[in-house]
Parts: sequence; C-alpha cells; structure tokens
Amino acid sequence: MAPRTKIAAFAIGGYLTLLALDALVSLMLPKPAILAGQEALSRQLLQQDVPFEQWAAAAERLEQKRKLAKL
Amino acid sequence: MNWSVERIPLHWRAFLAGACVYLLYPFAHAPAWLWQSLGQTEAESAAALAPVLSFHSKYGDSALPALNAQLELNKLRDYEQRLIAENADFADQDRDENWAEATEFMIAHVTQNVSANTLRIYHSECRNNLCRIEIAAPDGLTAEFRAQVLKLAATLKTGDLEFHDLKEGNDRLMLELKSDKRLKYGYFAERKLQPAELEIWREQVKTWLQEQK
Repeated sequence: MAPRTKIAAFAIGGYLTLLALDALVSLMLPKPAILAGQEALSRQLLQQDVPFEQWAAAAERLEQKRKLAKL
Repeated sequence: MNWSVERIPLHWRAFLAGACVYLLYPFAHAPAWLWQSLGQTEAESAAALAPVLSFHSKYGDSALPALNAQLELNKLRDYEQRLIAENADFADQDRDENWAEATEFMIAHVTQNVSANTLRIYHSECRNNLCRIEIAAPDGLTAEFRAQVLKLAATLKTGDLEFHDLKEGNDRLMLELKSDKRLKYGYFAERKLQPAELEIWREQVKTWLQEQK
C-alpha cells in the first residue's frame, strides 16, 4: 500500500472506529420504561438531539396554540 | 527526553485526526434526552416526559409531525434569543452598515438643527441596533445639562431611537439609544435562522391547528 493511501486509510479508520463505538453506545443506552410500547413517539424523540425539557416545552407550546386558535 | 507529537507514527496521527473529525461532526450520536435519562430515576424521566406523553395520548401519532415542527421552531426562537443576548451591549455589536449610516446622518441632523447646537457632540456611532453619542460635559451632569440631553433623547425618539443608557465619563457623557429594528446577523447565523424547512414547519403546525378546530 502506498504511504499516502495508508495514511488516508488510517484517517478513515479513525473516523469509522469512533462512529462504530458511538453507534454501539447509542444502541445500548436504555430507553425510559415509560416509553415502552410507544414506538412512534420513541422514533420521533430519537430524531432530535435535545433534552426532555425541550420536548415538554414544544408540547406545552403547541397545546397553548391550540387553545388560542379555538378562541 | 521531551515528548512531541512527531514521536507518534504518521499513520496513527492520521487515525487520531479521523477520530477528531468524528468528534466535531458526530453522526450516530445518541440524543441528549437518552443520556439525560441515564442519570435519572424512572420516576424523574416520567415526570420530565409527562407533558409529551399527555400530548401524545390526547392527539395520537398524527400530531407527532406538528410536535416535531414546533420543537424546531422553538429551537430557532431560542437561538435568536441567544443572538439577541450576545448583542445586548454596544461593544458586542457588529455594524449594520445601511441602518447605521442612515441613523448617524439622522443624529447629526437632529443634534445640529433641533438642539440648536447647545450640545457639543464629540462622536456618534451606530452599530446593529444601538447608537452611542458622546456629548461634551465639562461641568458634569448638571440639571440644565440633563434637561438638554433629555430633550435630545426625546427628539431622537421620534426617529425610532429609544433611550437605552447614560454613562458619565471624565468630561463627557455617553448617551446610548436603541432601535427596535431586527438585528442583522452574519451570513451563517442568518442562514441558521432561516432554514429551507422553516415554511414547512410553520405549515405543519398551522395544518394541525386547523384540524383541531
């Protein structure tokens, strides 16, 4: 393997190693028991890298908007 | 024996560089709430998730796109609030050239014509939504001088500049005025504030609200 190719392969290897480790840790993290059986909600929550409080704030804001829209 | 990065073989340095790139742009990172739940009891997680679970049980899966859209809108609003806080002080602001130039011209006009040259202006400068006027005050903030400065501030208020702050220097006063114009941000901040999906998110929320009527 040419030296440049070897260096590029190691750089990509470094990236992929951390990617694999991160993916593995993410898969192993347990979900709160309260989300058991709530597949669609869990999938939706997994799409956003935010704490619980931001999801709660969004739900409360949407509920407020719904009440205001009804007035 | 001194340690240096060159003691690490080149290919291992490349490996570390690749790993660092991943740390900068993580691709498969677990969301924050999953890490958060690790440090919480089940009861604490349930309490933190209660508004979401209540919302979901009330409106079902069909409300999830609207919930996600509202979350994105909240994130944008929080980001703009952070930018506003970062631009709260005159020293922190970049210059919005068009507005600053026009406002400086207006200030020069007002101070020369309306205050009838009773105040000596050392310097006036506008930036993003704040203007600072340095006024000569050799005798300090006397009652008469204060009245003149307030008169100037009141006149500038008609030009969309509200009083913001008044600081006393050695032989001068710094009068800061604030406009309620929207702050102008850099290219990347503006792009982040106006993503291509913004209209879609607004529409998703609007559609869901209409369905609930």
